[in-house]
Amino acid sequence: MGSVAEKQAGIVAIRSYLPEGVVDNQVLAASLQGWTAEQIHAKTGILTRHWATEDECASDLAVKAAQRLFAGHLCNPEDIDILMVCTQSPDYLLPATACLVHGRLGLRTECLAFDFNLGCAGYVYGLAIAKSLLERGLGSRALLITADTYSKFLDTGDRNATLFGDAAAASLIACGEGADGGAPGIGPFVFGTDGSGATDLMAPGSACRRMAADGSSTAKFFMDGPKVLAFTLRRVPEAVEALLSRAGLTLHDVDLFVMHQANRFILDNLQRKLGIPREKFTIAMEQTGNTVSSSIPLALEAEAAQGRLRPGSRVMLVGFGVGYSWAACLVTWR
Amino acid sequence: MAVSKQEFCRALARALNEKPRDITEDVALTDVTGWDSVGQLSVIACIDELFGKTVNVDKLRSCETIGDIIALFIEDIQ
Amino acid sequence: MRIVAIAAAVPQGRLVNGEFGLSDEDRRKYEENTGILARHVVKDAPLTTLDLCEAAARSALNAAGWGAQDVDGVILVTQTPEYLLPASACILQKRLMLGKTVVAFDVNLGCSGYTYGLILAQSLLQCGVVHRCLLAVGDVMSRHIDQVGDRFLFGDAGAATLLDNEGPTQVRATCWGTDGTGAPYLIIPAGGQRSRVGLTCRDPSPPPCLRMDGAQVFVFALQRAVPAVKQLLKETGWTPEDVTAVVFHQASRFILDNVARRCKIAMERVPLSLDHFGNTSSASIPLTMVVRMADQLRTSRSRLLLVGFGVGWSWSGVAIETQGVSVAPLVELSGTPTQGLGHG
Repeated sequence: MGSVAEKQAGIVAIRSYLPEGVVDNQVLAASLQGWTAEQIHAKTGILTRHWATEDECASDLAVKAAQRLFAGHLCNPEDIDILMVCTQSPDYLLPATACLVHGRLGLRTECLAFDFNLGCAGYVYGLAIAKSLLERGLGSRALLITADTYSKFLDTGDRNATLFGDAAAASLIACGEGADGGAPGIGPFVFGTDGSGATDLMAPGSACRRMAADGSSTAKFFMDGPKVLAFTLRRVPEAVEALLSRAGLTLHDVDLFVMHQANRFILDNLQRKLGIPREKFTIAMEQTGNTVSSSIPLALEAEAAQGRLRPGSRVMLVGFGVGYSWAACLVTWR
Repeated sequence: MAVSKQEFCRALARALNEKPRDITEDVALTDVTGWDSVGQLSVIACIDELFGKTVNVDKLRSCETIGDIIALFIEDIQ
Repeated sequence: MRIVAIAAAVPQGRLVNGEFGLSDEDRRKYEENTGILARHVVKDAPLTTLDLCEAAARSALNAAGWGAQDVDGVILVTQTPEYLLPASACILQKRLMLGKTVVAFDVNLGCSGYTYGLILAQSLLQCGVVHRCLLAVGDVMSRHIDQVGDRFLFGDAGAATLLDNEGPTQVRATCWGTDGTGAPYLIIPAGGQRSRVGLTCRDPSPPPCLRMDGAQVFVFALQRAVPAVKQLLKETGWTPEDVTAVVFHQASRFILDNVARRCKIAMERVPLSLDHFGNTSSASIPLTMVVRMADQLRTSRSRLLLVGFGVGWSWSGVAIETQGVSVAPLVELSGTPTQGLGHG
């Protein structure tokens, strides 16, 4: 069939889309008791975030991000064999958002398409799934799209509204030659799930449990910040260590750490705890807020645009959050 | 597979649970009791069996008479 | 990939055809068209899809003799999850007390969900991302229905399949496809994030209940499910007579009769669960295997074509040769409430 190197899946390109509506701290402070715009920035590290309009949903953001990939002549719609949409804010319960996106992008009917539901860990999980499908020969090109409109879960009077932004990112994943003498494009991975943390970050009234009429909450959104921080500071260092061990590497062998861009406070604490030098630690959420599963690809796109990623750069991606769900992987940049 | 207009009408009558003499070209579909959502499924199946073709549902629904349905398949009728 | 065990769970509540207040003539017409005499539904019991999937998963683990710590992957396929966030697969990890290094995620697919789930699991297993996978599938559609025709059609169920990579793979062929132009024809217009602006569907104001265009679904089935079966037969080299059974998504009797006719598959080889369980979405294929094929699957080598098709449009098929599958007896849940999570 071909050499092992030809069957290595890698990230070929990433293009993002942010909705046009920009919400700055001034606007949010007006609805929040006792918080000024400066305090919001100090606490979160976020200046602005983009929110979808009432008529804009995850499928719209996803389509626009994918169209940017096509417009950049990085691939054509008819080349896509696999379409994966990671979202926790789907247009509908059914049909899947991937089917909507498939129809609007005019992809082939031979395309394998599905939604998968994960949040902040979604991009890394998505890379694992895409890599598996491609390396098993189910296709040559996969489009992994992360798209969320968390703003629709949040009222402006909710402090959590300061944290989240809407976005989509479309990543073209394809098998090609290994980066340098057989180094894998993507991998290895470590994964984690702990459902006992499900109650710490959830949208209680968002789907079907509320219909079971058992007294369940119908609230739009809930997050226990301290618990989420404690989870992060425990599980992320564990995952980083496990991944380095699996790869036979040390911290110094990694060129760049791109973590889920939750907020400045969490990122600073992680950087400190892991002992990662500032120039190797990506912080890229100031203008976008926490874009859930899009935060890692958005950060990668930004770092690549600034020339901080070169062919052969060894990058560690760590997603962590709602679920609780977490995953880490190494990526050799192309 | 060539089918005569008469045979087609008879097949439609069977699909719609109507007597053959009640299904002629000029009959308005609104006058056919069997022309409901279940009847439409039977007509689609009937056409598939006769002609090996799957009908365009929007075109089928825009038919007002039996004759309109026949016209959709005029190429397959001798 | 090897199918190790299959189990299914339904709510105890049942609706028989006499309970719909239909005229005798209408009832007979629906019965003849759908082939459905009864279906299990949650009714007032505080049961969700996750509850059904959990019960099925416990049953499957028991049948396989696997411990909770043996499972390292959970794929939960549903269109009626507990919440939009977190994923129900994460909650299932906790309820079953699986290890904390498991891969777990939800997949949003319906009628094609089981066969897509098998295809995804196969890739993860073969690449070593996962070694022992729990594929949980199902829907509680009854709470999203407001039309008698749909109430007649749909039943609630959850199913669990345990998969591993022991021995030579049992999968002989797979196929799949997507056509998003079919999205408007099988949809719950309100219930996701797009509650006001809907796709072109025949209702002007988007309701939170299912809207299905039966004629479009039927035409889709003829156009896509038929070639899927033919492709599987071609790739395996099996003839219709070589096949032990073709287990279709239990869309309706009318659809299956016509699809089987076009594929030249005799209905004797098409097991049905829809007569007593209705259309149970992604659970319908494994549920059929549990209630109609248990002995066959346990004792004999079985050449199966599994074909799921529907909402999306989405379709997929798996040709698999099973042997010695542990099949658990059907679980019926009475609805003692599991704690819903939540904060007021």
